[in-house]
Amino acid sequence: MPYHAATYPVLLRHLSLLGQTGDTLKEQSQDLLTGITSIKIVQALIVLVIAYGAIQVIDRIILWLSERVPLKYRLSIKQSLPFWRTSVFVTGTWLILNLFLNLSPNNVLAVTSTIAVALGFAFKDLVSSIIAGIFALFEQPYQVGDRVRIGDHYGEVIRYGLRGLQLKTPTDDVVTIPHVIIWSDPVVNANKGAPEALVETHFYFDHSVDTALVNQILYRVAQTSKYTQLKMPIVVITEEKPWGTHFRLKAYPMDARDEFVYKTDLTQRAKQKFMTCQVVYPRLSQFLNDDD
Amino acid sequence: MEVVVNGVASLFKRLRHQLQKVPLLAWLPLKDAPRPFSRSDKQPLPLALKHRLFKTTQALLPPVGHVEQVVDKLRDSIQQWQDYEVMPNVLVVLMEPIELADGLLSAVLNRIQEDQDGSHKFCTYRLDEWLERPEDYVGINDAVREAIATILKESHADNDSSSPVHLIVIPALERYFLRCVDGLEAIETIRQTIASHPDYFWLVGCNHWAWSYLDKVCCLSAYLDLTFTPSPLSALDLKSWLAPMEEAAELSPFPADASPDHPSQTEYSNQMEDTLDAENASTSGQELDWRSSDERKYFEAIESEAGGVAAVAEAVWQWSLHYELNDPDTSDTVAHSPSTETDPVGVVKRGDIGAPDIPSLTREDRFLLYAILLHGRLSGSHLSLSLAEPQGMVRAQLQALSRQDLITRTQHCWAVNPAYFPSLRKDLRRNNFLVD
Repeated sequence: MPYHAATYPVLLRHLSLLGQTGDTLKEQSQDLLTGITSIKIVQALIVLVIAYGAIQVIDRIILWLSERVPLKYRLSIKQSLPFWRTSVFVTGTWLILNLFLNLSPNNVLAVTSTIAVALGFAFKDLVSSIIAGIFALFEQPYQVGDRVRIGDHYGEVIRYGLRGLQLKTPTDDVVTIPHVIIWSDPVVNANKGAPEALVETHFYFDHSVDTALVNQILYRVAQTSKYTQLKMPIVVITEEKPWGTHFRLKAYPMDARDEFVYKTDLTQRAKQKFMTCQVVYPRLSQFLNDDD
Repeated sequence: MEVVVNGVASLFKRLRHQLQKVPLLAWLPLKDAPRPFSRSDKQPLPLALKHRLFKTTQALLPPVGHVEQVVDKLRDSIQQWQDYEVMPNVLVVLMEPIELADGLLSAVLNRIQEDQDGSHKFCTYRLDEWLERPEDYVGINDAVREAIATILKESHADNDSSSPVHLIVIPALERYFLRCVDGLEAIETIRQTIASHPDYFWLVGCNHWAWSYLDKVCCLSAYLDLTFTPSPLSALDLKSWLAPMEEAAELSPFPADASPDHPSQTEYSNQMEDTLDAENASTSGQELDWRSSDERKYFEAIESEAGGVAAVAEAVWQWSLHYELNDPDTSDTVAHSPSTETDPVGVVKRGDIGAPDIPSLTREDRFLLYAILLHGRLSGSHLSLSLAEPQGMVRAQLQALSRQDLITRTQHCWAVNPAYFPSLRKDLRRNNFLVD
């Protein structure tokens, strides 16, 4: 579109204003950055080393302490780990930024908005995970020491990082899951900070089984296990299925970490007793033949 | 300079001691590193002396105060049971897991039979088929049934016109069960028998932890609802109870206070008379006075460490003893006469009071120690059944714990060393075990 002659002075004025703004921004950026000297670089490195060392020391102290306090406080101590790590991270970042930048309120606004835009495009998922991690600190869908199921993975939360958490599965694998998953996926928490966690052990018998006898044996098996927390209830649930009778023994071990050995102990001792009582297991051959 | 250093060290020690008493800080590792029983700075007690102390321990009578308390409680309970039909026909005496109720209940029975005053005439029966669990634990139930049937038959034969109180004593309930699927049947038999024979009075001894466990799994307190725990022993009770041990160790008595800063023995005794009246009442007929403030502090320290539990107090007392070799240049020291040629010549002395701390334990160690305490004492094969672990593994664990002095073996059974009981109880409680 051709410009009218009368508009030229206005344009010139606007261009001159833009030029002034560019100069101001240049001055501002010079104000924002302080001089980078060798001493500052050394200081920054020292801050990094100290922060790294502090995180390592805090990790060890928290883990050492958590194994020495009463069991009911163990998880609370472990769960403070993300807070301390975040505190060290934020403090270290602040100190380093302070070395190289003039962190006046205007500069902080300029820096954060610039970083936000840059990260928003380049590291969208990372930032989302970090923000989810901060939300999870307050919302607490999982904490260190909890036994959780996220997606297809089940295990104990052994580490709560800035970006994600680590689960130790029953097969001793360590699975890293980004915090961002809490925006979309359900998180199933088995103990929510308590030292005990409900363990469900399944037993299957033929329809002709004496349910009273099986119930009695299952209760006794749970009551006489060295792992059982007797302060918590023991429950046996019976359900009829097309192929047989399904018994679910629900009990709590004293320490949730014993979940799998506990289940093994219950199963082994119950099977020994069922063998002596000649309890009949389901006859699945008929169903298998039907499938064929 | 040395004085200042010693002063600071003493101040630090006192501060640490105070902090240990704060319940919230009890978990902090404020105590010294675990000490083994044989400390290098002291000579171990001569073998002959150890043997003599062991024999004396075995022969120790139960504390008089405890016998009195149980007798009083038993008389009251029997009176109420006779007066009111709804009152329970059973009294359960609860002891700590490292103590056996056998001795106490025997003393109570003797006392009752000696003092038959006409108001109550007793016919007493004891259900003690065995001192240890039989190897075939499944047979316990049948044996209990038979024993009870025999007692009931005897009691019918004993019935005469004087209508005596038929008192049946079960000295240690924990001996009649084993924590495994078939191991609780005898307890249910006993429970049913007591409930179905309200014309008999039952005196049952049981370990505290076993009681808590059996109550959870067999609902015992619904049937056997009258329980009694003898109160902890005071420093004075402990002094009189440990007197035969002090004599066996040939310990010289505490010197009486004589300095102007301290009252004389008589004055001191008078001053404390008021405050100690209650304690004296439970140990009447005994030598009750404190010879000196040192003696009082010594026994109060034992009481504090042991929590008033007799077996622990005896272990703590023995733990405080050490042996000092005589200096050949000094002639005024009274030498302990060696019983064997290998024993060194020296004197037994009292040292600082303090129970040893438990060494660091694994989870498996805790399960094993809890199982022993739950049953009072347990053989290796029964322990393996109770833990549902292979015997070989349990044996190896037992050997390791035995080397650390945490457990001791008497005949075929394993028991926890009473000296470690207070620390062990604390540790197990912290780790969520059912100990209360």
